[in-house]
Amino acid sequence: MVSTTDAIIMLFTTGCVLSAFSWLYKENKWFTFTEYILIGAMAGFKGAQGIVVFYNSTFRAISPEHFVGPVLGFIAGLLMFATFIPKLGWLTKYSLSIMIGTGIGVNLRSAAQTQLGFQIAATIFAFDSPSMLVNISNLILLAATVSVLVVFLFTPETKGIVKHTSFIGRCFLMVAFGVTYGFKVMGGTSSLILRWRDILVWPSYLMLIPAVLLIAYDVMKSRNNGT
Amino acid sequence: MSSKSLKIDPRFIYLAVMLSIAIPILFPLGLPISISESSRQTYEAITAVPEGGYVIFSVGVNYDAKGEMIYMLQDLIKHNLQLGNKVILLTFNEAQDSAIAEEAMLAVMDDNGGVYGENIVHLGFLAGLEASMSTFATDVRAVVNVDYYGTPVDDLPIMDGLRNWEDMDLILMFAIGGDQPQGELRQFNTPYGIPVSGGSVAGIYANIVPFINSGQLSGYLNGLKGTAEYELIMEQPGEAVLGMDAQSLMSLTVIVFIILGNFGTGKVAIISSKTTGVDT
Repeated sequence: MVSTTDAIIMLFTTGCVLSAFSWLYKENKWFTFTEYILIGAMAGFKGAQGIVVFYNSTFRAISPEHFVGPVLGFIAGLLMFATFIPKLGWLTKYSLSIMIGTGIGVNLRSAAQTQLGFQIAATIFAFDSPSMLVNISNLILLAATVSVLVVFLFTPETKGIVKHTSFIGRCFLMVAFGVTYGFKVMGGTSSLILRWRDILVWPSYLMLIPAVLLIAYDVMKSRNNGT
Repeated sequence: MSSKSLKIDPRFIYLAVMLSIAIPILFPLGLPISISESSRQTYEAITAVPEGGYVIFSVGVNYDAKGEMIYMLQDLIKHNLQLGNKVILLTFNEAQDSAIAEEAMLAVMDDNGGVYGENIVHLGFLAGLEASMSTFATDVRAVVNVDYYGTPVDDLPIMDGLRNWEDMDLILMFAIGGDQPQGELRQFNTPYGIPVSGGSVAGIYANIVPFINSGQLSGYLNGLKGTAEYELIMEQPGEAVLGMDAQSLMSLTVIVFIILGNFGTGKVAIISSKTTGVDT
């Protein structure tokens, strides 16, 4: 049993989702209305979450054992706002330099091993697997890796073996782009499916009635106007 | 110089796509779902955690991807609680991700033996991205003083045994874009050897596959499909499995329209070359 409050929220949410979908029919005021609601809600939500995080990581975090870190963090954060005062704008550079310096230092610590070492190791295959399929798969992966790298060799002239290897590399790249596109479509579809599952439950599906009627009215109006 | 298939009003295609999703939701077809090796590896990584071990959920999911990721999060929290693991939810990416983590936690906690503060906790957003991850790995208390609700972590029994990376048994990272899982690999897996797994939206899965193949990631779930596979592996079919019929039928509809479009374009090209004598 859905409570009245939940029913109102569900109907409003479904109305917003259908208004968003209505853009596929054509640009309309319902879509614009929902667009503004979404932007406003997201801005408000992010702002509220930011305040909670700020409060938790500064005032709530300060204790006799943890004093210096939160206070320094607070000051560094405060300096970021100095950019709004033209005469003190240079102070922002201190906060930015701490952020960028720390970020790069921490990222680089194991970046080479994570993104280079392990990845290179993963392409050095042993072709001695008892399974012939695994050996073939390894061979294809090795061919793909080498040929795709050749595509991005710009120094040698593109002729002879370089040209042919580069062509094979481009084919592998096209396959990779196709896979990426396929996954993107699948991801978009998943969101669409779950939205529809929210719509096709009681009492949300009631909103389909006004949506269909509005589109039918618009189609009739367009026909009468000859557009 | 025209072909009927090229004259279809795009709105009819949208309508067909919508129907291909709505029909299987109303009348499930029960199409088979094959289980990928990557999903199986994720299951094995989770079941390999010793009972009472700490599983860190690094939730990098915001509201844009909630639809695709919420059931994945719920399923993995549920499964970890059922196995008796301790679940630590936190977010390194954006403050708003905390709300998704909370929503998923509240949805499954009570029905699966979860007691807040005892075997599950939500630490909220830890600002600083990889700097924060790095500090979290070396000294948890240095970055976490209070949980998402403002309770001091010293008052939460679950936090007694979590001091640094030595106490972490598995990192589950939930990604929706860019190079998100790489941060966890750089800060937890490479330096300390903590297994990293999790799941992402399907849109970025292709970027993640090289890290699964190299063995750096202990499996990874691929969007709604990965979630459905996981539900089948743990023999608890749920929301994701129900959505896969619509996924298959919708993909079929798109394939049909791609074939029609290509057929139409080819026909136009043939007619054009016959009329003008020029290949198009």
